[in-house]
Amino acid sequence: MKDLIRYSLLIIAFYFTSEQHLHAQEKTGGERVTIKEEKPTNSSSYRGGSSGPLKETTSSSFNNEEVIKEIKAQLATMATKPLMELIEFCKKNTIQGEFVIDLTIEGKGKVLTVFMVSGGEDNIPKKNLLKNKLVELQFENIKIPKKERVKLRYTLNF
Amino acid sequence: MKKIAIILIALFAFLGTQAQEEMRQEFTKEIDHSFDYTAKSDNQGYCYASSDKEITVLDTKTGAIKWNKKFSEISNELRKVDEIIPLWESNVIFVFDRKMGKDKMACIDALTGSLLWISSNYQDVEEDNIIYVSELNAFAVSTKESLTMVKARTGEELWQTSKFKGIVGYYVYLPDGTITMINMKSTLLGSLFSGFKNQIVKINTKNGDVIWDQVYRGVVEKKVLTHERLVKMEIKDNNVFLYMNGIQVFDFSTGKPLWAAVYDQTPSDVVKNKKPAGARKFGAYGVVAEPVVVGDYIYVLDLVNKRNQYLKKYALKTGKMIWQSAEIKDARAIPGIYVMGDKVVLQVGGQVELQYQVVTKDATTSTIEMENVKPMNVQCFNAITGEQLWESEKMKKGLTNLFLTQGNVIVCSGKAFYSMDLTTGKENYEMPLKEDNIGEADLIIPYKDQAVIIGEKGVSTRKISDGSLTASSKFRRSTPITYNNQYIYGESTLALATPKSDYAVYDVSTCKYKSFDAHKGASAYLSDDGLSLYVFESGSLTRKSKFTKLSAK
Repeated sequence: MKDLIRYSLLIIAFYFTSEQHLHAQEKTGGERVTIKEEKPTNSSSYRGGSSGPLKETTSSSFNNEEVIKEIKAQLATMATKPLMELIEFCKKNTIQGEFVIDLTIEGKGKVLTVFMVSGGEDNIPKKNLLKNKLVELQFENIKIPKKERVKLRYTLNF
Repeated sequence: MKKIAIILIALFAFLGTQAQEEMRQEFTKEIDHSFDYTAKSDNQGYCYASSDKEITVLDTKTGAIKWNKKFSEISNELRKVDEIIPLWESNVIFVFDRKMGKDKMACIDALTGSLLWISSNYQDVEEDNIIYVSELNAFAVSTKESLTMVKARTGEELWQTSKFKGIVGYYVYLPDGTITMINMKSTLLGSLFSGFKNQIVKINTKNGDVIWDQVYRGVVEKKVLTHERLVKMEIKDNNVFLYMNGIQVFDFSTGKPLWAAVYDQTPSDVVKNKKPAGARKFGAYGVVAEPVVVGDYIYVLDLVNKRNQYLKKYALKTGKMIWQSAEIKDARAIPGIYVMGDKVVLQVGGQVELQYQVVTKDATTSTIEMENVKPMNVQCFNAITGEQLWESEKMKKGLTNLFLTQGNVIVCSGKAFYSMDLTTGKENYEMPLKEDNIGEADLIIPYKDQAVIIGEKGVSTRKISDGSLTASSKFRRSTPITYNNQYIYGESTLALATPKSDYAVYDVSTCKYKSFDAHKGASAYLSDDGLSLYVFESGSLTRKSKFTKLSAK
């Protein structure tokens, strides 16, 4: 009898966790992505997305278009405090060139994953430095629901 | 007359000692420094001996020194090295110079000794934090904060994600470029403060995308001295099977938990009474058998509490319980489940592994030993219905392990060797091990038509068909050299080591051995083909350090 109760509870627990997980999967749409191109505006010391940044949107019920648009706008203008610090950091460490990056973002604009797609291969310590700084980035005015993630591709040009 | 008898005894003793051959040395190479760290790779053909300040890399075929350097010569950022991790497939050696929050991790070309890169990005990294992905020639480093994929030879960081945190408990890499892994606590205190959460994740290793993440149940245990992890994971038929205190099954595509049969008891607790007084670290292993998968079914033990245990059969695909055995009364340890045809055999009680460390004012003593846990018996169940068919209590006083072959259960009580009919439990034979002259048996291993019996003081072989003794050779009180439960290397080589670093390398087909007495504290490795024994002896002020290759044949 004890066993029966134990395993019933276990099955119920798994049912709930799997339901939550499925909910998240449906919303983020798993691996399915579409890619669009978009031209950003340039700033004086930094040319963002000059080669045409890539945008990834997921086919989910959560509309992340607005979030991606906002993040890209912030990357294009580099006007927020963390992004201005990024520019300063690159200047100080003489990090130059074009870097294609994938960013996965959650919550209030916290960077979850950084994938250095290309760029900087000629100076790996500096490329690693940039990646470390990108991981610490915090975007402003972003609200991504819990268990949701937004992924985008962008070209940074320092 | 008395005189003649004494002379004869002396003569026999002399002949007896002469009969035991010493191993032939293929070469001995002197090393100019003492060392604490040694390792070898047969595939790559080199080995190293290193102290915290200096390392020497040698060719395992010829003994030639490939290179020797002080770590401070490799990089002026390195002083005293605290840990060395070889990544053989990539021909690199990682060395760690730890300084509270300022750990340096350097990557050295193992073939030339030149520095490839050095970084202080990775703090508190140990061997368990590194996974090598040969397909990418890169490795994933997990830290308290994140998981980073790093190109092995350049140090280029391909991606970093903060979605996975903690030490890697176990991982499975698939050719589709995904890695499925679970995390584990580094230390109990550390995990409490950092808000540790059990995670099982599937990650695309090419870009760091977390495809799914889920929570698993339980605590991944590590052996207290040898640090082997007590967890396994398998991916089969689009399912992830996590074996840890039972089984948990997840959908490989979505991560959805499908079913589980897990128990919350910590197996070590069942034999807490074996903990020696004053032991700081203590663990008992092999107390509960790992689940056994046969076809579409899995046989798994359920520890409801320390005294109540059941054997259960589940359908792998659905998680439906097919049957549950009657209570296995009073069992404190069930180290083995064996399945053959429509029979399931349980080894109840018997030898379990104890690892402990006792700290006294004078010394710290680490011990690994086998200990018999009572009660001991062998039980057989009908695999279709779960009904108990027979129980043998012949091995009341001792039980090593057992194996099934040709419709028989081959088992050893430590003092006698048995064969029992799998269907009825009736004894085919009972053979006392006195004439083997190897002390009490610790382990039996099937080898062709024989059983190799590893005793406290030597090895013997017996025919499985009638239990008759084929051969035996007494050595000294010793334990086998084993790695990942492999005892026999190559065709027929098995090695024993005494606590004083004396080695005996047996040919189990004849049960003859050759020996080599090294200096106490030496470390030894059998080659994968079982043809050689490599012995590293660290020197002192009066004695040179040595690397010796011995022929095992």
